[in-house]
Amino acid sequence: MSSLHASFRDPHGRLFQYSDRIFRALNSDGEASLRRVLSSRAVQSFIEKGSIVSTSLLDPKEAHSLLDAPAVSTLLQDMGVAAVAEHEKAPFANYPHEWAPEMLHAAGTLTIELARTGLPDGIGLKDATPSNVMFWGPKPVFIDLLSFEQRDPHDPTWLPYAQFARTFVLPLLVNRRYHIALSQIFTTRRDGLEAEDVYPLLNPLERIRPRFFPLITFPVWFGKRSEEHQEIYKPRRFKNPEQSRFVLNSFLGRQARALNRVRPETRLDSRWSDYMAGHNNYSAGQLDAKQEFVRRMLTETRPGTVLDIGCNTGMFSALAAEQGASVVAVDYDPVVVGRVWRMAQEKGASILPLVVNLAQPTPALGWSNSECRSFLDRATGAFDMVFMLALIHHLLVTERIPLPQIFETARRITKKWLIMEYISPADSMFKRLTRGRAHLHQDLNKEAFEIIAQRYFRIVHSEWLPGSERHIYLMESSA
Amino acid sequence: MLYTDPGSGMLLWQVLVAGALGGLFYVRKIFSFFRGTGRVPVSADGNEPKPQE
Repeated sequence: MSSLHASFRDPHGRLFQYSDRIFRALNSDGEASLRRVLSSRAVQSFIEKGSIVSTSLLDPKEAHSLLDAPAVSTLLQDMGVAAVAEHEKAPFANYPHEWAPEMLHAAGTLTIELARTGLPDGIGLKDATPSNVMFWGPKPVFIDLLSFEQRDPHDPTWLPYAQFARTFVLPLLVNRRYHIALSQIFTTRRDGLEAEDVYPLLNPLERIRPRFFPLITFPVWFGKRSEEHQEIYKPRRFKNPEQSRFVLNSFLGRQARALNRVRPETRLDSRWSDYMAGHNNYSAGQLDAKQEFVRRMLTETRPGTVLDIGCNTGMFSALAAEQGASVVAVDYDPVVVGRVWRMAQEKGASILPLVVNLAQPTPALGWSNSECRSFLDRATGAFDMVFMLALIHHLLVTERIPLPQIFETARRITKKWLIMEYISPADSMFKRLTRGRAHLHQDLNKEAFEIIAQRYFRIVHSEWLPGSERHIYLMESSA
Repeated sequence: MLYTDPGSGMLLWQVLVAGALGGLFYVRKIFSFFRGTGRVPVSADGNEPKPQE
Protein backbone atom coordinates (compact mmCIF):
# COMPACT_ATOMS: atom_id res chain seq x y z
CA MET A 1 0.00 0.00 0.00
CA SER A 2 1.26 3.52 -0.65
CA SER A 3 0.02 7.04 -0.05
CA LEU A 4 -0.65 8.77 -3.35
CA HIS A 5 -0.68 12.26 -4.83
CA ALA A 6 -0.89 15.51 -2.94
CA SER A 7 -4.21 15.01 -1.26
CA PHE A 8 -2.85 14.98 2.27
CA ARG A 9 -2.64 18.77 1.88
CA ASP A 10 -6.42 18.94 1.97
CA PRO A 11 -7.48 18.76 5.64
CA HIS A 12 -10.77 17.07 4.63
CA GLY A 13 -9.38 13.80 3.34
CA ARG A 14 -6.49 11.60 2.37
CA LEU A 15 -6.03 9.48 -0.73
CA PHE A 16 -4.45 6.04 -0.63
CA GLN A 17 -4.13 2.89 -2.68
CA TYR A 18 -4.94 -0.50 -1.22
CA SER A 19 -5.28 -3.83 -3.02
CA ASP A 20 -4.96 -2.02 -6.35
CA ARG A 21 -8.00 0.15 -5.53
CA ILE A 22 -8.06 3.91 -4.91
CA PHE A 23 -9.71 5.13 -1.70
CA ARG A 24 -10.16 8.47 -0.03
CA ALA A 25 -10.54 8.63 3.74
CA LEU A 26 -12.77 11.54 4.77
CA ASN A 27 -13.24 13.38 8.04
CA SER A 28 -16.77 14.48 8.95
CA ASP A 29 -16.50 17.78 7.04
CA GLY A 30 -15.09 15.93 4.06
CA GLU A 31 -17.91 13.42 4.11
CA ALA A 32 -20.58 16.15 4.28
CA SER A 33 -18.85 18.02 1.46
CA LEU A 34 -18.58 14.93 -0.75
CA ARG A 35 -22.24 14.00 -0.23
CA ARG A 36 -23.30 17.53 -1.27
CA VAL A 37 -21.04 17.43 -4.32
CA LEU A 38 -22.28 14.02 -5.44
CA SER A 39 -25.88 15.24 -5.23
CA SER A 40 -25.17 18.16 -7.58
CA ARG A 41 -26.81 17.81 -10.99
CA ALA A 42 -23.87 19.54 -12.67
CA VAL A 43 -21.31 17.23 -11.06
CA GLN A 44 -23.38 14.15 -11.91
CA SER A 45 -23.55 15.20 -15.57
CA PHE A 46 -19.75 15.52 -15.67
CA ILE A 47 -19.35 12.10 -14.02
CA GLU A 48 -21.67 10.59 -16.66
CA LYS A 49 -19.59 12.24 -19.42
CA GLY A 50 -16.42 10.82 -17.88
CA SER A 51 -14.93 14.26 -17.15
CA ILE A 52 -15.06 13.73 -13.37
CA VAL A 53 -13.82 10.47 -11.88
CA SER A 54 -16.53 8.00 -10.95
CA THR A 55 -16.82 7.93 -7.14
CA SER A 56 -18.92 6.14 -4.56
CA LEU A 57 -19.04 6.06 -0.76
CA LEU A 58 -18.31 2.65 0.76
CA ASP A 59 -21.03 1.21 2.98
CA PRO A 60 -20.04 1.47 6.67
CA LYS A 61 -19.36 -2.28 7.00
CA GLU A 62 -16.92 -2.34 4.09
CA ALA A 63 -15.32 0.92 5.27
CA HIS A 64 -14.75 -0.53 8.76
CA SER A 65 -13.17 -3.70 7.46
CA LEU A 66 -10.86 -1.59 5.24
CA LEU A 67 -9.94 0.72 8.13
CA ASP A 68 -9.16 -2.29 10.33
CA ALA A 69 -6.45 -3.49 7.94
CA PRO A 70 -3.16 -2.84 9.81
CA ALA A 71 -1.48 -0.89 7.00
CA VAL A 72 -4.53 1.34 6.54
CA SER A 73 -5.02 2.02 10.24
CA THR A 74 -1.33 3.00 10.55
CA LEU A 75 -1.60 5.37 7.60
CA LEU A 76 -4.73 7.05 8.96
CA GLN A 77 -3.97 6.91 12.69
CA ASP A 78 -3.76 10.70 13.05
CA MET A 79 -7.02 11.30 11.20
CA GLY A 80 -10.59 11.00 12.46
CA VAL A 81 -12.13 9.02 9.61
CA ALA A 82 -15.89 9.43 9.21
CA ALA A 83 -16.30 7.72 5.83
CA VAL A 84 -14.36 6.24 2.93
CA ALA A 85 -14.97 6.88 -0.75
CA GLU A 86 -13.67 4.81 -3.64
CA HIS A 87 -12.58 6.32 -6.96
CA GLU A 88 -12.24 4.62 -10.31
CA LYS A 89 -8.54 3.95 -10.91
CA ALA A 90 -6.77 5.72 -13.78
CA PRO A 91 -5.54 3.19 -16.37
CA PHE A 92 -2.03 4.67 -16.10
CA ALA A 93 -1.20 7.36 -13.54
CA ASN A 94 0.23 10.50 -15.12
CA TYR A 95 1.34 13.90 -13.84
CA PRO A 96 1.68 17.47 -15.13
CA HIS A 97 5.48 17.18 -15.39
CA GLU A 98 4.94 14.51 -18.07
CA TRP A 99 2.28 16.33 -20.08
CA ALA A 100 2.64 18.15 -23.38
CA PRO A 101 1.59 21.82 -23.18
CA GLU A 102 -1.62 20.96 -25.07
CA MET A 103 -2.55 18.62 -22.22
CA LEU A 104 -1.95 21.26 -19.54
CA HIS A 105 -4.15 23.61 -21.54
CA ALA A 106 -6.91 20.99 -21.77
CA ALA A 107 -6.67 20.36 -18.01
CA GLY A 108 -6.95 24.11 -17.36
CA THR A 109 -9.96 24.40 -19.65
CA LEU A 110 -11.68 21.57 -17.78
CA THR A 111 -10.87 23.23 -14.44
CA ILE A 112 -12.45 26.55 -15.47
CA GLU A 113 -15.43 24.77 -17.01
CA LEU A 114 -16.07 22.92 -13.75
CA ALA A 115 -15.64 26.08 -11.66
CA ARG A 116 -18.26 27.85 -13.81
CA THR A 117 -20.64 24.94 -14.15
CA GLY A 118 -20.99 24.37 -10.43
CA LEU A 119 -22.14 27.95 -9.79
CA PRO A 120 -25.89 27.37 -10.34
CA ASP A 121 -25.77 24.54 -7.78
CA GLY A 122 -23.90 26.75 -5.30
CA ILE A 123 -20.72 24.71 -5.70
CA GLY A 124 -17.26 26.12 -6.31
CA LEU A 125 -13.67 24.92 -6.58
CA LYS A 126 -11.46 25.58 -3.57
CA ASP A 127 -8.25 24.79 -5.45
CA ALA A 128 -7.24 24.91 -9.10
CA THR A 129 -4.15 22.89 -9.84
CA PRO A 130 -3.24 20.43 -12.61
CA SER A 131 -2.72 17.83 -9.87
CA ASN A 132 -6.53 17.61 -9.73
CA VAL A 133 -6.55 16.19 -13.24
CA MET A 134 -5.30 12.97 -14.83
CA PHE A 135 -5.58 11.80 -18.40
CA TRP A 136 -7.52 8.66 -19.27
CA GLY A 137 -6.11 8.14 -22.78
CA PRO A 138 -6.23 11.63 -24.32
CA LYS A 139 -9.19 12.72 -22.16
CA PRO A 140 -8.65 14.94 -19.08
CA VAL A 141 -10.53 13.68 -16.03
CA PHE A 142 -10.98 15.66 -12.81
CA ILE A 143 -9.95 13.30 -10.01
CA ASP A 144 -10.24 15.33 -6.82
CA LEU A 145 -13.87 15.61 -5.77
CA LEU A 146 -12.88 17.19 -2.46
CA SER A 147 -11.82 20.24 -4.45
CA PHE A 148 -15.50 21.07 -4.80
CA GLU A 149 -17.09 22.90 -1.92
CA GLN A 150 -20.29 24.65 -1.03
CA ARG A 151 -19.84 28.33 -1.95
CA ASP A 152 -20.89 31.28 0.12
CA PRO A 153 -23.42 32.75 -2.37
CA HIS A 154 -22.44 36.30 -1.32
CA ASP A 155 -18.71 35.82 -1.97
CA PRO A 156 -17.65 37.38 -5.33
CA THR A 157 -14.02 36.15 -5.25
CA TRP A 158 -12.43 32.98 -6.56
CA LEU A 159 -9.65 32.27 -4.08
CA PRO A 160 -7.83 29.63 -6.19
CA TYR A 161 -7.27 32.32 -8.87
CA ALA A 162 -3.61 32.77 -7.88
CA GLN A 163 -3.04 29.01 -7.94
CA PHE A 164 -4.71 28.77 -11.35
CA ALA A 165 -2.38 31.48 -12.66
CA ARG A 166 0.70 29.86 -11.09
CA THR A 167 0.03 26.34 -12.29
CA PHE A 168 -1.74 26.82 -15.64
CA VAL A 169 -1.46 30.28 -17.18
CA LEU A 170 2.12 31.27 -16.29
CA PRO A 171 3.70 27.87 -17.18
CA LEU A 172 1.87 27.89 -20.53
CA LEU A 173 2.93 31.48 -21.11
CA VAL A 174 6.65 30.83 -20.54
CA ASN A 175 6.40 27.62 -22.54
CA ARG A 176 4.85 29.42 -25.49
CA ARG A 177 7.05 32.53 -25.44
CA TYR A 178 10.38 31.16 -24.18
CA HIS A 179 10.07 27.43 -24.98
CA ILE A 180 10.73 26.40 -21.39
CA ALA A 181 9.54 22.79 -21.06
CA LEU A 182 6.79 22.02 -18.57
CA SER A 183 8.94 19.20 -17.16
CA GLN A 184 11.55 21.79 -16.21
CA ILE A 185 8.92 23.78 -14.34
CA PHE A 186 6.89 21.07 -12.62
CA THR A 187 9.65 18.65 -11.61
CA THR A 188 11.10 21.31 -9.35
CA ARG A 189 8.01 23.43 -8.58
CA ARG A 190 4.86 21.60 -7.63
CA ASP A 191 2.94 24.86 -7.40
CA GLY A 192 4.11 26.29 -10.74
CA LEU A 193 5.54 29.75 -11.33
CA GLU A 194 5.14 32.95 -9.36
CA ALA A 195 4.63 36.28 -11.15
CA GLU A 196 8.05 37.25 -9.76
CA ASP A 197 9.64 34.39 -11.73
CA VAL A 198 8.23 35.63 -15.04
CA TYR A 199 8.52 39.40 -14.51
CA PRO A 200 12.30 39.58 -15.27
CA LEU A 201 11.71 37.82 -18.61
CA LEU A 202 9.49 40.66 -19.90
CA ASN A 203 10.88 43.90 -21.31
CA PRO A 204 9.64 47.22 -19.82
CA LEU A 205 7.03 47.76 -22.54
CA GLU A 206 5.66 44.25 -22.24
CA ARG A 207 5.24 44.70 -18.50
CA ILE A 208 2.52 47.31 -19.04
CA ARG A 209 0.72 45.48 -21.85
CA PRO A 210 -2.89 44.68 -20.84
CA ARG A 211 -2.37 40.91 -21.17
CA PHE A 212 0.64 40.87 -18.81
CA PHE A 213 -0.14 43.70 -16.40
CA PRO A 214 -2.85 42.03 -14.27
CA LEU A 215 -1.19 38.61 -14.36
CA ILE A 216 2.44 39.55 -13.76
CA THR A 217 3.20 43.22 -13.25
CA PHE A 218 0.42 44.18 -10.82
CA PRO A 219 1.11 41.25 -8.42
CA VAL A 220 4.85 42.06 -8.49
CA TRP A 221 4.39 45.80 -7.92
CA PHE A 222 1.66 45.60 -5.30
CA GLY A 223 1.95 42.09 -3.85
CA LYS A 224 4.69 42.77 -1.33
CA ARG A 225 3.02 45.94 -0.06
CA SER A 226 -0.36 44.27 0.39
CA GLU A 227 1.19 41.24 2.17
CA GLU A 228 1.65 43.43 5.26
CA HIS A 229 -2.10 44.10 5.46
CA GLN A 230 -3.86 40.96 6.66
CA GLU A 231 -7.27 42.49 5.97
CA ILE A 232 -6.97 41.71 2.26
CA TYR A 233 -7.41 38.04 3.19
CA LYS A 234 -10.74 38.65 4.93
CA PRO A 235 -13.70 37.22 2.99
CA ARG A 236 -15.53 39.70 0.75
CA ARG A 237 -19.31 39.61 0.66
CA PHE A 238 -21.82 41.37 -1.55
CA LYS A 239 -25.31 41.85 -0.18
CA ASN A 240 -26.88 40.61 -3.39
CA PRO A 241 -26.00 36.94 -4.24
CA GLU A 242 -27.05 37.54 -7.86
CA GLN A 243 -24.42 40.27 -8.07
CA SER A 244 -21.68 38.06 -6.63
CA ARG A 245 -22.57 35.27 -9.03
CA PHE A 246 -22.43 37.74 -11.95
CA VAL A 247 -18.99 38.95 -10.81
CA LEU A 248 -17.63 35.46 -10.25
CA ASN A 249 -18.87 34.11 -13.54
CA SER A 250 -17.48 37.11 -15.41
CA PHE A 251 -14.13 36.66 -13.67
CA LEU A 252 -14.00 32.97 -14.55
CA GLY A 253 -14.85 33.85 -18.16
CA ARG A 254 -11.85 36.19 -18.16
CA GLN A 255 -9.65 33.37 -16.88
CA ALA A 256 -10.88 31.11 -19.68
CA ARG A 257 -9.88 33.81 -22.18
CA ALA A 258 -6.50 34.32 -20.45
CA LEU A 259 -5.90 30.58 -20.77
CA ASN A 260 -6.80 30.63 -24.45
CA ARG A 261 -4.32 33.42 -25.10
CA VAL A 262 -1.51 31.10 -23.96
CA ARG A 263 -2.83 28.07 -25.88
CA PRO A 264 0.16 26.14 -27.31
CA GLU A 265 0.93 26.81 -30.95
CA THR A 266 -0.05 23.94 -33.21
CA ARG A 267 2.48 24.71 -35.94
CA LEU A 268 5.53 24.32 -33.75
CA ASP A 269 8.29 22.14 -35.20
CA SER A 270 11.14 20.38 -33.49
CA ARG A 271 14.12 18.30 -34.60
CA TRP A 272 12.00 15.14 -34.54
CA SER A 273 8.50 16.38 -35.40
CA ASP A 274 8.89 15.74 -39.15
CA TYR A 275 10.76 12.46 -38.77
CA MET A 276 7.95 10.29 -40.12
CA ALA A 277 6.97 12.83 -42.78
CA GLY A 278 9.99 12.12 -44.95
CA HIS A 279 12.93 13.19 -42.77
CA ASN A 280 14.07 9.62 -42.20
CA ASN A 281 15.78 6.93 -44.21
CA TYR A 282 12.81 4.64 -44.82
CA SER A 283 11.50 4.16 -48.32
CA ALA A 284 7.72 3.97 -48.64
CA GLY A 285 8.04 0.19 -49.12
CA GLN A 286 10.13 -0.26 -45.98
CA LEU A 287 7.71 1.74 -43.89
CA ASP A 288 4.81 -0.30 -45.28
CA ALA A 289 6.67 -3.54 -44.46
CA LYS A 290 7.33 -2.33 -40.93
CA GLN A 291 3.70 -1.34 -40.44
CA GLU A 292 2.52 -4.64 -41.87
CA PHE A 293 4.79 -6.61 -39.52
CA VAL A 294 3.57 -4.67 -36.46
CA ARG A 295 -0.06 -5.08 -37.55
CA ARG A 296 0.38 -8.84 -37.99
CA MET A 297 2.07 -9.23 -34.62
CA LEU A 298 -0.68 -7.23 -32.92
CA THR A 299 -3.29 -9.47 -34.51
CA GLU A 300 -1.39 -12.56 -33.43
CA THR A 301 -0.74 -11.52 -29.82
CA ARG A 302 -3.79 -9.28 -29.08
CA PRO A 303 -2.18 -7.17 -26.33
CA GLY A 304 -4.58 -5.27 -24.06
CA THR A 305 -1.97 -2.69 -23.06
CA VAL A 306 0.95 -1.37 -25.10
CA LEU A 307 3.82 0.98 -24.24
CA ASP A 308 5.28 2.68 -27.33
CA ILE A 309 8.73 4.00 -26.36
CA GLY A 310 10.04 6.73 -28.66
CA CYS A 311 6.62 7.06 -30.27
CA ASN A 312 7.47 10.06 -32.49
CA THR A 313 4.29 10.91 -34.44
CA GLY A 314 2.41 7.99 -32.92
CA MET A 315 2.00 5.99 -36.15
CA PHE A 316 2.49 2.65 -34.39
CA SER A 317 0.59 3.73 -31.27
CA ALA A 318 -2.38 4.45 -33.54
CA LEU A 319 -1.99 1.01 -35.11
CA ALA A 320 -2.09 -0.65 -31.68
CA ALA A 321 -5.07 1.48 -30.59
CA GLU A 322 -6.93 0.51 -33.77
CA GLN A 323 -6.43 -3.13 -32.78
CA GLY A 324 -8.10 -2.45 -29.44
CA ALA A 325 -5.08 -1.89 -27.20
CA SER A 326 -4.89 0.81 -24.56
CA VAL A 327 -1.65 2.60 -25.43
CA VAL A 328 0.78 4.76 -23.49
CA ALA A 329 3.04 6.55 -26.00
CA VAL A 330 6.20 8.20 -24.68
CA ASP A 331 8.78 10.42 -26.31
CA TYR A 332 11.18 12.96 -24.88
CA ASP A 333 10.16 15.63 -27.39
CA PRO A 334 7.15 17.65 -26.09
CA VAL A 335 6.33 18.87 -29.61
CA VAL A 336 5.77 15.36 -30.99
CA VAL A 337 3.92 14.32 -27.81
CA GLY A 338 1.61 17.31 -28.28
CA ARG A 339 0.92 16.20 -31.85
CA VAL A 340 0.17 12.64 -30.75
CA TRP A 341 -2.25 14.01 -28.13
CA ARG A 342 -4.07 16.11 -30.76
CA MET A 343 -4.21 13.12 -33.13
CA ALA A 344 -5.56 10.84 -30.37
CA GLN A 345 -8.14 13.45 -29.38
CA GLU A 346 -9.34 13.90 -32.95
CA LYS A 347 -9.55 10.16 -33.61
CA GLY A 348 -10.87 9.31 -30.13
CA ALA A 349 -8.01 6.80 -29.96
CA SER A 350 -7.10 5.15 -26.67
CA ILE A 351 -3.62 6.68 -26.52
CA LEU A 352 -2.08 8.45 -23.54
CA PRO A 353 0.95 10.40 -24.79
CA LEU A 354 3.55 11.46 -22.22
CA VAL A 355 6.84 13.35 -22.30
CA VAL A 356 9.23 10.74 -20.95
CA ASN A 357 12.85 10.04 -21.84
CA LEU A 358 13.59 6.36 -21.20
CA ALA A 359 17.27 7.19 -20.69
CA GLN A 360 16.31 9.66 -17.96
CA PRO A 361 12.87 8.49 -16.83
CA THR A 362 10.65 10.69 -14.70
CA PRO A 363 11.78 10.34 -11.08
CA ALA A 364 9.55 9.96 -8.03
CA LEU A 365 8.57 13.42 -6.83
CA GLY A 366 6.93 15.30 -4.00
CA TRP A 367 7.13 14.94 -0.25
CA SER A 368 9.32 11.96 0.69
CA ASN A 369 9.37 11.18 -3.05
CA SER A 370 6.01 9.50 -2.50
CA GLU A 371 3.42 11.87 -3.99
CA CYS A 372 4.18 11.11 -7.65
CA ARG A 373 5.60 7.70 -8.50
CA SER A 374 8.52 7.38 -10.90
CA PHE A 375 7.78 6.38 -14.48
CA LEU A 376 9.58 3.03 -14.18
CA ASP A 377 7.74 2.21 -10.97
CA ARG A 378 4.41 2.77 -12.74
CA ALA A 379 5.51 1.02 -15.92
CA THR A 380 7.02 -2.10 -14.35
CA GLY A 381 4.92 -5.10 -15.37
CA ALA A 382 2.14 -2.78 -16.55
CA PHE A 383 2.12 -3.59 -20.28
CA ASP A 384 1.35 -6.69 -22.32
CA MET A 385 3.58 -5.42 -25.09
CA VAL A 386 6.38 -2.87 -25.49
CA PHE A 387 7.38 -1.22 -28.77
CA MET A 388 10.99 -0.14 -29.23
CA LEU A 389 10.91 0.92 -32.84
CA ALA A 390 13.71 3.00 -34.38
CA LEU A 391 14.98 3.52 -30.85
CA ILE A 392 18.01 1.42 -29.99
CA HIS A 393 20.54 3.53 -31.93
CA HIS A 394 19.48 6.54 -29.84
CA LEU A 395 19.96 4.58 -26.63
CA LEU A 396 23.22 2.91 -27.73
CA VAL A 397 24.90 5.88 -29.38
CA THR A 398 23.45 9.08 -27.95
CA GLU A 399 22.72 7.87 -24.45
CA ARG A 400 25.53 5.27 -24.25
CA ILE A 401 23.29 2.60 -22.69
CA PRO A 402 24.70 -0.94 -23.16
CA LEU A 403 22.47 -3.34 -25.11
CA PRO A 404 22.00 -5.84 -22.22
CA GLN A 405 20.65 -3.05 -20.04
CA ILE A 406 18.19 -2.01 -22.74
CA PHE A 407 16.82 -5.56 -22.85
CA GLU A 408 16.78 -5.76 -19.06
CA THR A 409 14.60 -2.63 -18.85
CA ALA A 410 12.33 -3.87 -21.64
CA ARG A 411 11.84 -7.16 -19.79
CA ARG A 412 11.08 -5.29 -16.58
CA ILE A 413 8.32 -3.29 -18.27
CA THR A 414 6.64 -5.86 -20.47
CA LYS A 415 4.53 -8.70 -19.12
CA LYS A 416 5.13 -10.72 -22.26
CA TRP A 417 5.85 -9.20 -25.66
CA LEU A 418 8.47 -6.89 -27.14
CA ILE A 419 8.55 -5.58 -30.71
CA MET A 420 12.02 -4.24 -31.33
CA GLU A 421 13.79 -2.90 -34.37
CA TYR A 422 17.46 -3.73 -34.82
CA ILE A 423 19.42 -1.00 -36.56
CA SER A 424 22.84 -1.91 -37.88
CA PRO A 425 25.82 0.45 -37.43
CA ALA A 426 25.86 0.57 -41.27
CA ASP A 427 22.47 2.33 -41.24
CA SER A 428 22.67 5.99 -42.27
CA MET A 429 20.75 7.22 -39.19
CA PHE A 430 23.03 5.18 -36.93
CA LYS A 431 26.08 6.69 -38.64
CA ARG A 432 24.66 10.17 -38.31
CA LEU A 433 24.41 9.74 -34.55
CA THR A 434 27.89 8.24 -34.07
CA ARG A 435 29.69 11.42 -35.20
CA GLY A 436 33.12 9.88 -35.47
CA ARG A 437 32.59 7.30 -32.72
CA ALA A 438 31.81 4.33 -34.97
CA HIS A 439 34.63 2.33 -33.31
CA LEU A 440 32.54 2.15 -30.14
CA HIS A 441 29.99 -0.03 -31.97
CA GLN A 442 32.28 -2.11 -34.20
CA ASP A 443 31.23 -5.35 -32.44
CA LEU A 444 27.53 -4.76 -32.97
CA ASN A 445 25.93 -6.85 -35.68
CA LYS A 446 22.70 -8.80 -36.12
CA GLU A 447 24.14 -12.02 -34.67
CA ALA A 448 25.55 -10.29 -31.57
CA PHE A 449 22.22 -8.48 -31.14
CA GLU A 450 20.30 -11.77 -31.23
CA ILE A 451 22.67 -13.49 -28.79
CA ILE A 452 22.19 -10.72 -26.22
CA ALA A 453 18.43 -10.57 -26.92
CA GLN A 454 18.07 -14.27 -26.17
CA ARG A 455 19.43 -13.83 -22.66
CA TYR A 456 16.22 -11.96 -21.87
CA PHE A 457 13.69 -12.88 -24.56
CA ARG A 458 12.75 -15.68 -26.93
CA ILE A 459 12.76 -14.54 -30.55
CA VAL A 460 9.37 -15.50 -32.00
CA HIS A 461 9.45 -13.78 -35.39
CA SER A 462 11.92 -11.61 -37.25
CA GLU A 463 11.83 -9.89 -40.58
CA TRP A 464 14.28 -7.89 -42.66
CA LEU A 465 12.99 -4.54 -43.87
CA PRO A 466 13.88 -4.93 -47.59
CA GLY A 467 16.69 -2.73 -48.87
CA SER A 468 17.58 -1.48 -45.40
CA GLU A 469 20.07 -2.17 -42.59
CA ARG A 470 17.19 -2.89 -40.24
CA HIS A 471 15.43 -5.98 -38.89
CA ILE A 472 12.27 -6.10 -36.85
CA TYR A 473 11.56 -8.69 -34.17
CA LEU A 474 8.72 -10.02 -32.08
CA MET A 475 10.16 -11.38 -28.82
CA GLU A 476 8.58 -13.09 -25.83
CA SER A 477 9.86 -12.41 -22.32
CA SER A 478 11.72 -15.30 -20.74
CA ALA A 479 11.05 -13.99 -17.21
CA MET B 1 -12.11 26.02 3.34
CA LEU B 2 -9.11 27.77 1.80
CA TYR B 3 -5.86 25.84 2.07
CA THR B 4 -3.98 26.94 -1.02
CA ASP B 5 -1.96 30.15 -1.16
CA PRO B 6 -4.33 32.86 -2.47
CA GLY B 7 -1.38 35.14 -3.33
CA SER B 8 -1.39 38.75 -2.23
CA GLY B 9 -1.02 40.85 -5.39
CA MET B 10 -3.31 38.52 -7.35
CA LEU B 11 -5.92 38.59 -4.59
CA LEU B 12 -5.75 42.39 -4.48
CA TRP B 13 -6.21 42.50 -8.26
CA GLN B 14 -9.21 40.22 -8.00
CA VAL B 15 -10.77 42.43 -5.32
CA LEU B 16 -10.39 45.46 -7.59
CA VAL B 17 -11.89 43.60 -10.55
CA ALA B 18 -14.75 42.33 -8.36
CA GLY B 19 -15.51 45.92 -7.36
CA ALA B 20 -15.57 47.06 -10.99
CA LEU B 21 -17.68 44.10 -12.14
CA GLY B 22 -20.00 44.59 -9.16
CA GLY B 23 -20.64 48.15 -10.39
CA LEU B 24 -21.16 46.85 -13.93
CA PHE B 25 -23.83 44.51 -12.59
CA TYR B 26 -25.98 47.46 -11.50
CA VAL B 27 -25.27 49.41 -14.70
CA ARG B 28 -26.57 46.45 -16.67
CA LYS B 29 -29.53 46.05 -14.35
CA ILE B 30 -30.56 49.67 -14.95
CA PHE B 31 -29.99 49.23 -18.71
CA SER B 32 -32.08 46.03 -18.72
CA PHE B 33 -34.84 47.79 -16.75
CA PHE B 34 -35.15 50.47 -19.43
CA ARG B 35 -34.98 47.88 -22.18
CA GLY B 36 -37.82 46.13 -20.42
CA THR B 37 -36.18 42.72 -20.01
CA GLY B 38 -35.54 43.14 -16.27
CA ARG B 39 -32.89 40.44 -16.49
CA VAL B 40 -29.10 40.74 -16.12
CA PRO B 41 -26.93 38.25 -17.97
CA VAL B 42 -25.13 35.92 -15.59
CA SER B 43 -21.73 37.26 -16.60
CA ALA B 44 -20.24 40.35 -18.20
CA ASP B 45 -19.57 38.41 -21.40
CA GLY B 46 -23.21 37.31 -21.49
CA ASN B 47 -22.34 33.63 -21.11
CA GLU B 48 -24.24 31.55 -18.65
CA PRO B 49 -22.53 28.55 -17.06
CA LYS B 50 -23.80 25.35 -18.60
CA PRO B 51 -24.87 22.84 -15.98
CA GLN B 52 -25.52 20.11 -18.53
CA GLU B 53 -24.59 19.37 -22.11
